Amino acid sequence: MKIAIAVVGALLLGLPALAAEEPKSDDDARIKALAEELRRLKLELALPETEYKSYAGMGPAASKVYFVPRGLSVGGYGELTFAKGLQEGARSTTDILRVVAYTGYRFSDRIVFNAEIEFEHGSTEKLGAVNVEFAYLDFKLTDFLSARVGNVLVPIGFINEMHEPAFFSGVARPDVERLLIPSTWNENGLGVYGAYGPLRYKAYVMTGLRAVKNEGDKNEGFVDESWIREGRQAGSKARADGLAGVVNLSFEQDIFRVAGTLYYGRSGQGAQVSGSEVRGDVLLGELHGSVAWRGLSARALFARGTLTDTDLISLENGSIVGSRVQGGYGEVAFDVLTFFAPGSSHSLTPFVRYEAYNLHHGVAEGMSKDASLNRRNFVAGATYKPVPTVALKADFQSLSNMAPASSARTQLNLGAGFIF
Amino acid sequence: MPLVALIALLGQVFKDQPAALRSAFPEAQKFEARDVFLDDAAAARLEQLARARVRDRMVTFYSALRAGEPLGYAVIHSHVVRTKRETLCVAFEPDGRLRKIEIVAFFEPAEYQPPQAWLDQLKGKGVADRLAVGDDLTPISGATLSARGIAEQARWLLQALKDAAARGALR
Repeated sequence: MKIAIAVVGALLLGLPALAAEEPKSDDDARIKALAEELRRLKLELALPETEYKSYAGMGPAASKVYFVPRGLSVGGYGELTFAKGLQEGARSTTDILRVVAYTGYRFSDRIVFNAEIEFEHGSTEKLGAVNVEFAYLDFKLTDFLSARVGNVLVPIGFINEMHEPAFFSGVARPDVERLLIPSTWNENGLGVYGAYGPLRYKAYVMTGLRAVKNEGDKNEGFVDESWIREGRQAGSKARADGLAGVVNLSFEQDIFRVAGTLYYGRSGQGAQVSGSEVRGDVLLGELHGSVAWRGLSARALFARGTLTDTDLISLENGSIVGSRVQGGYGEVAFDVLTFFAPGSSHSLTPFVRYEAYNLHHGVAEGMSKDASLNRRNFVAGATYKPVPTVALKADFQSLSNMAPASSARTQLNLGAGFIF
Repeated sequence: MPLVALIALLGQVFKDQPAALRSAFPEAQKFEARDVFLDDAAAARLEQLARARVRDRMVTFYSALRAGEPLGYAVIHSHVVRTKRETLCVAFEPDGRLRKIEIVAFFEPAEYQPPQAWLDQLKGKGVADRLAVGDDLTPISGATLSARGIAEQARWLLQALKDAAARGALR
């Protein structure tokens, strides 16, 4: 840029001092064009715009390091929530849910380190935690092929890789992407990814889940209420006897995007229950699609999973873990300011979302299904963004299940989120 | 390195160009850009008058207009403080006196940035003022280089505006 300015500036040095008039000849027109170009370049140098773009399906703030020419990159995001149950006697809670720092370093055009370090729930002296959500090295081999090694996000669903609060509706993530797909889900592994035109792929081998609880290792293992979620190893002295593989394909064209993921892995990690070794094969597949047209956006996701050896796992963990789970959700949102104030940098986006999922679609023979795990959630709310990177959210949730004599639980949620 | 230090290293852009101009002239209905070119002789003259180094060879003055009448002028100007840049929006009254100087981007560590209260003492200064830190501008601890740089840029931009206006280059 400096060279460009110098060249354009040198061309201008022969001009009479303090001249500024409308062009009268071709030379004048060229000079005017050069002056405008120089003005633009000077402004770009003086006030560089931070551009937030997604790289390979990651959140825009998480992708910052891919758009710096060299060296250090710092980004982050945060979420603050307030929830008020609307039943008599229900408590209100507020939580500094996440404060996250992204740090990355671009060693060269082809080698990048990227990491997310998350502080959850305010204080480790209370219920908080500090977690590495990802920390990996990328090696770009060609435009179509890159290699990745480290602690990686499992490329599954909408939310797991793109979990920055400005980019999903509602204060809370959808249950289907918390309980069936246990976002945020990261494991140590390696793999390849790339893109060819509108087609994008990722294929990783990683440590499997850990099904059976082990109090010494603080591993809770699989439980009925959250299926495989508490068996995530997150790269923390992870058992690597059982591995997993995941393949993700996505296709994006104009306003449409469709994607799907298949995950298969073992979760026994050498555990023995009643003299039998637990394999705990986890097969999880999902399909999702979205459309965004002007202010209107819609998305839908369906996921289905199976787990073997649930008799052994349930026995050891003291909780009936589903052998089959399935569910999905659909969501529609519309930025009303595209209609009432076109061109505004603000957005106000009401949305509705409906989820249906069952964590006991199947259980081991001889065990009974819990109908309260067959759930229906309705969420309606709105997101206001004064700038695209700051989101203020409000929504109403109605959470119900299929258990006899069960009534819907309702809740009001407020939230604030940001990325940088 | 502590997290806060990592964040500070990044620096910040506080306002983009339209927001900076609007902040200087909130009542303006539109802004017109006028490019003023400086040959070596003009730059040397400004350097002598302003006791400043003039590296630019083109200055863009934005005329703030309301009902076709100028409310004043502004320049978005960037220069290196130590090793990194700061960008100023320097606004002038129609008679050429300084109206407001605002830092709109600062890429040095934040502790080197002079506060707006220090910048406000430049309001109303003109070409007849010395605009020298320690003379008619109060010194500022920790941000000396930045303060001197701002004063130097203000001196030559005041002279450049006066020169441009005298030659009718802002019409």
